[in-house]
Amino acid sequence: MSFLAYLTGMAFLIWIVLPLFKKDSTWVSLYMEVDELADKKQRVYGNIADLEFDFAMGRLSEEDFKRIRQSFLSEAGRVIERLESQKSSAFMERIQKDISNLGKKQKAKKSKKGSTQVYCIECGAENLPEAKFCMKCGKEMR
Amino acid sequence: MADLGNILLFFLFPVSVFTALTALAAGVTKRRGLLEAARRGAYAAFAVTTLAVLSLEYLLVTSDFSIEYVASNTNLALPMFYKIVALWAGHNGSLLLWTWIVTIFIAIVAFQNRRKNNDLMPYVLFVIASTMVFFSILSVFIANPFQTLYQDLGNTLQEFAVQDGRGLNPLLQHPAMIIHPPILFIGYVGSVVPFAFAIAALITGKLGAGWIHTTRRWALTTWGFLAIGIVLGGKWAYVELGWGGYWAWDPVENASLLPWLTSTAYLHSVMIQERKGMLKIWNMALVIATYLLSIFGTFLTRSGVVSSVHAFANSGLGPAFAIFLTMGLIFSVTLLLYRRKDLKPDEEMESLVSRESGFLFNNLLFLLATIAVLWGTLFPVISELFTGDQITVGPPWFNNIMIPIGLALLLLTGAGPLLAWRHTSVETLKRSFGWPILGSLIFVIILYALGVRDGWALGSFAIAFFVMWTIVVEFVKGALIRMKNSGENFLIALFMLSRKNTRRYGGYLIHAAIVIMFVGFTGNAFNSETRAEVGEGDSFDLGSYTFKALSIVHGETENYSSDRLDMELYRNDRFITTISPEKRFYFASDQPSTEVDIYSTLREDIYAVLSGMSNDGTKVIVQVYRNPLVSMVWIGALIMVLGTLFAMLPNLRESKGGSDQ
Repeated sequence: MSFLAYLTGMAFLIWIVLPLFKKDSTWVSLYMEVDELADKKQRVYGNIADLEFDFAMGRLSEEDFKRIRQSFLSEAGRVIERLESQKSSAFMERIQKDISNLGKKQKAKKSKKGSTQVYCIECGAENLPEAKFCMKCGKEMR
Repeated sequence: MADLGNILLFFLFPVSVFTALTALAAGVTKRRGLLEAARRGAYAAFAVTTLAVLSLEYLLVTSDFSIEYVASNTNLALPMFYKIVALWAGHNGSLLLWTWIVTIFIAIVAFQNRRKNNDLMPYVLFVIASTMVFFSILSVFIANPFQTLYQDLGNTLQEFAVQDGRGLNPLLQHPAMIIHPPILFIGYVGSVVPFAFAIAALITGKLGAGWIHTTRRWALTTWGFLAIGIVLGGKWAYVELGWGGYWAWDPVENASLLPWLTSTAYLHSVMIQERKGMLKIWNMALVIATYLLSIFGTFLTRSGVVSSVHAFANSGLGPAFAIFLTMGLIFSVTLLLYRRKDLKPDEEMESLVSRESGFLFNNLLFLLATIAVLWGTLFPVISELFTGDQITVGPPWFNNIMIPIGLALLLLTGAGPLLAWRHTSVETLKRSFGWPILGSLIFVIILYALGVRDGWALGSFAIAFFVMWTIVVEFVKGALIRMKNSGENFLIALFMLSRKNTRRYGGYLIHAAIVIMFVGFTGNAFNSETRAEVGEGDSFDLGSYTFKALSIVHGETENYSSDRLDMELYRNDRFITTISPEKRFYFASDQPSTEVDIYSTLREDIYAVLSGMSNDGTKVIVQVYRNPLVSMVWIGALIMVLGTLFAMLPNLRESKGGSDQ
């Protein structure tokens, strides 16, 4: 009985520390300014909804309502514009990063499996193992 | 089983440390493996503590009196039910319960966020795990519930078991006792989650609305639990302590009120941040204050610094808590100062008459209330520091300060929601406030004509009437507008309206509940009481009530012996009911206990206490109280629970192009 408990305990312990020994990746922080702008957009929308509700409930004059609503709408416009441009640049950055990560990974793969590398017998250039023709001189690979 | 419990509890310490460290490392390196390990550490802490709690339950249920905790909090004759809940009857056990709830919450948070909030999570886990480290140190090394009894034989210590335990404190042998401590603890401990997210936001610099959205339900839930816990504590005091009231500004009651005040302030001021991007530092400060005040509350009850009815005797935990609190305070304030530039408001205040300024006043009042309660609670300590004597400030001091603050807050409850965001013109003010003010004035005149003369009470009723009016108008007007736009009938429109903005209308429900509770509080102005020594057949009066003593009954169970007075209650000579206050003497704990009997109606409570017995046993001394409107407090509390639950429902979205107001 106590042996069983001991075994369970040990298994549990191993389960906890296991992730520490896994070769793993890091996560990338999301681009912050996009978050901030998204918050702002949410806020302006919430404000407009509240404003319309307040007006419907008779809590502010039509004059105030129109004025404040206009300022919210133009603010929303500005925020969305900035958000779109930020978003696309954030995406570009992300893509860049992913590509360079991909490159690193492939390089790592390559250096690990050094034996599978192929060289052209004609000019000696390094080629991918699955290459049919040398990418430097164009000679058929064997 | 005690060994197993001890070993399990002993494991909690390294597991907590492991979780805290791996979480911190994950935050720095952003490695997924580390974060996953921290998460598993959190689950492990939960598993280990749960098993430890079960072991203690096993010991309690099987009455293993070689364990000190079991021997001092239960006895053989104790009903099984109370044996189970004795887990939180004593000092060490309730600390284990505290720890257990922390581990439950860290496991839930870890699970909920297993695929999101990767940036915040390492620090969130770190903060909660650090709290866990602290409480595991307390539970394992200072207040271990698995401590065995032993006797000193000169050179060796020998373990032994007693024949029967000392029993459960009779005051705690009440159904409210089953739920009051765990609910209050959930409220206390829950504050760690918003706190952890706030700290994580401060550390990572991700100070946007993310952490607020993630913790919105947590903040509301723990606020609700705290509120229910406080009310249940009041209910328990009312029916069990036998002094006729439910709130006495006792240090421990105040300790639970303090975090509630700051978290209520937070729930309001967070709306300004959501709408205007203002008060960011203030909101952070409120979340931090709520957490620290929760720890402080636990500290107050555990350390014996301030004497109180339910404070546990000096237990040596004081210094540990003081160190932890100080560290927490320094850590969070430093972080806050470090990030103060990033927490600048996005917009400025535009008008003094607006919703946001209403919220500001609300926060100012809550801050004042918090400071007043804190000052009054700590006054004995402060006065001892300067004069050498502990000077206690009593309920009158608290009432003098808190009644005006409370009424001002109540007034804002009605006025605030009528103000528009940004700017409210005088014209609309007149339209919104005219009728309610007129209505409450007429209401006061009627009350005055009916004979109500107490100034505070009149003021309170007037404000309550005003606020109730505005709340009803909010619902009705909203529903009418919706009816017009959608063609639904009134009830459906009312339902759809509230379901589409649960936070707003749940909030209004809570406001209504608060109004009802305030009406109950105001009833205190009209309390009356009398005391009589009666034998069988005697009678006495209180106002329009007459009490006729029928018989004095002596009884005995294996747990206690009792004396009961059976009285008939008449109102204007009409028989209403029999009322039977009782006095018990518990054998195991060698303690007396009063069992009050309450005849409760919506209008008032008749509350009878058997306070003593003449030497020959033929006469008893009975104290009766007439407490108007007490039921309103409990009814209000129930509505508050409903309102909180409603506010937590997700908003209903209309799929077909219905009108969106």
